[in-house]
Amino acid sequence: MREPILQVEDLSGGYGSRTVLRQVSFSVQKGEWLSIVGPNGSGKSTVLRLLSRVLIPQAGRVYLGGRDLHAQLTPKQVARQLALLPQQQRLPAGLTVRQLVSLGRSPHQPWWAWQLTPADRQRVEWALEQTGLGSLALRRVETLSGGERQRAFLALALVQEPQVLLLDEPTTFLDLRHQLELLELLQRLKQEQGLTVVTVLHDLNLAIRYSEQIALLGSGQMQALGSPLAVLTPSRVRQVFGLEVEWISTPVGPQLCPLRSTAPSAARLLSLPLSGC
Amino acid sequence: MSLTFNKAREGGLANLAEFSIPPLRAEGVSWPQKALFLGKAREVFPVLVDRECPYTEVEGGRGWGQRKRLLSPIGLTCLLLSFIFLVLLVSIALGSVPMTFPELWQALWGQGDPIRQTIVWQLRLPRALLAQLLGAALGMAGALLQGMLGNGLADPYLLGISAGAGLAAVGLLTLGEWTAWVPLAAWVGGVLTTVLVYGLARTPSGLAVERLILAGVAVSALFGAISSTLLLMADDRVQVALTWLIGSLSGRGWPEVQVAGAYILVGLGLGWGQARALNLLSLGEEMAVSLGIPLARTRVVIGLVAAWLAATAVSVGGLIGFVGLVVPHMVRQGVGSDYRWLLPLSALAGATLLSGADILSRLGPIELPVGIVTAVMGAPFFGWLLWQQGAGR
Repeated sequence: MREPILQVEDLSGGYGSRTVLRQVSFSVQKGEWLSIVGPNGSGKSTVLRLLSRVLIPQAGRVYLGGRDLHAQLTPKQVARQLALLPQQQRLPAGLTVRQLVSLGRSPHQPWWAWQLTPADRQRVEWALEQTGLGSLALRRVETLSGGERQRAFLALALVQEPQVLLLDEPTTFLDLRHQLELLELLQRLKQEQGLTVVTVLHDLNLAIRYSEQIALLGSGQMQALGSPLAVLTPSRVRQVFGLEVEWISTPVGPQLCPLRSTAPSAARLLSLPLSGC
Repeated sequence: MSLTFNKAREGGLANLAEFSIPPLRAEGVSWPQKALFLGKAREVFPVLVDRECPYTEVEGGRGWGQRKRLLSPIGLTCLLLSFIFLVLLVSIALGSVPMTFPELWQALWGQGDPIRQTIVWQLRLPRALLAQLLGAALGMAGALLQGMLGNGLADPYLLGISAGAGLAAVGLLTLGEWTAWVPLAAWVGGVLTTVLVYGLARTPSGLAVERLILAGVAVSALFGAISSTLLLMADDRVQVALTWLIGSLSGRGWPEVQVAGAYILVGLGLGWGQARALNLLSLGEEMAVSLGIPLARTRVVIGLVAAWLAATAVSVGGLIGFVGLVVPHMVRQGVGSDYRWLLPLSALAGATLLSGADILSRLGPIELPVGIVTAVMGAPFFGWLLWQQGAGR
């Protein structure tokens, strides 16, 4: 078996003295798509924060390309291999889309660099084109719509030339069409460039449709890991999400159909993790 | 409509009549003169005029962006440099001994009346240079901290520099006659207080911005209270201490220029070096980290460079307020939030502003402390800035 590009061993982490995530392990091969799913508060985003070095793990190790992400690699070395698309982005005022996207080259620039090299520029134009932002390159970022903004930050991440792309609920603020467009784009990049995708997704059916591997988290622990059909069995979904579901076949492959909530609380009903079927 | 507009852009002034009609319909256009000026300046000085920004592409064709800029960063740099030179000239020409321009010229070249030469070379020139150096230091320190803390209300004194330097200086001035030691003590006090603030804000998981600001406010309040007590107890020395606290450039000469100048130039260089890190920090913590910025280390470095600059300025000129707060906002109007330009231009604009304020402070029958002038100039300007930003949206 090949060496996995990303390997997580017994990872625990949290905020301050509070531990949110306990002993989670998984590994991702190059060019593979792993979706992390689970109910609210199950520690999904914490996994991504630990992987992107925003949080320091309380225990356990993360290996990126065989080297310890937190101990053996410098921040810059990590940034050349791994990029993050955070859930909410802060926009600096007064930048054009192209200027924003260009910031993604920083990990590749020496400290004294003032401007981008021609090769850098080429990469920026490539990313703008891939994300369909070519015609918006001169727009100010604060005038972008939600979907365009998401694409701009995706372009920024692509400019980093990452081998692994982490996405934190990338579809949350998008309508259904833009959700599909974004995920289709990622799938194309995965196939064409061998990009490895690790994403937190709320929508189980989108996760089923696009990922090879699904990691199901519940109360900070790994509940199951493997192919979508093996992981999201009706009994397990009932246990973790409190939701009655049934597998049905659709034109895009097997999908989950939510039937009813097993817990009669209103809060559960309001946060159905499925977009219908 | 947009077609004629584009043609007009290419043709510059040649087809004036055609040019002045259609683009006005696009959203956000203010007045045709601006467009004419741009069209012409674009041809004559392509480097100096902002090419990318004013014509922002909007859906359905070209139009104007929300914010309009006339000058490119290079153009603005040239403008500010010429301002600085002008202010320097005015600064050494004005004073209680009036001089005509030929007299000034002679004195500058070491000819003519020896008294005038002394006045120009020993009194006015070092003071003017010092005002520019301190203004540059405060301007850049303000820009550094506003960027690092992601807070437009940050000024160079936020992390306790003013309180620490103030306490040290007030202590020396009120408890004894150690005036000569004030600059050194103020510098050490300012830098040490910043270190203390960082120590208080530190947690095992890193260095959060909110904690830094809170620690700065807390330490400032405590030290301010001690300073006030000292001032109350020493009534005969209050005047000297108060002048220092307001900020004054009166009676400074070449020794101050040499010492402070060396420190400030080093600090300006180090500060400019943080430009790219600041650009990434403005995307938020998560993005900055994933783009390879070591968060805690960068925050320490930027804070210390800002403290170094501000403490140097304070140790020579006292607590000159408002420059560090207002200048980065002014410059942001001109170049946006790209710190590669924002930092050096804040230094240049700070130099211009403080130098100008120093001239104003000397115009009246009695010389005012320059800190009063900067506050009087700064407050309404800040209000105007707020009003303009509100109207722009």
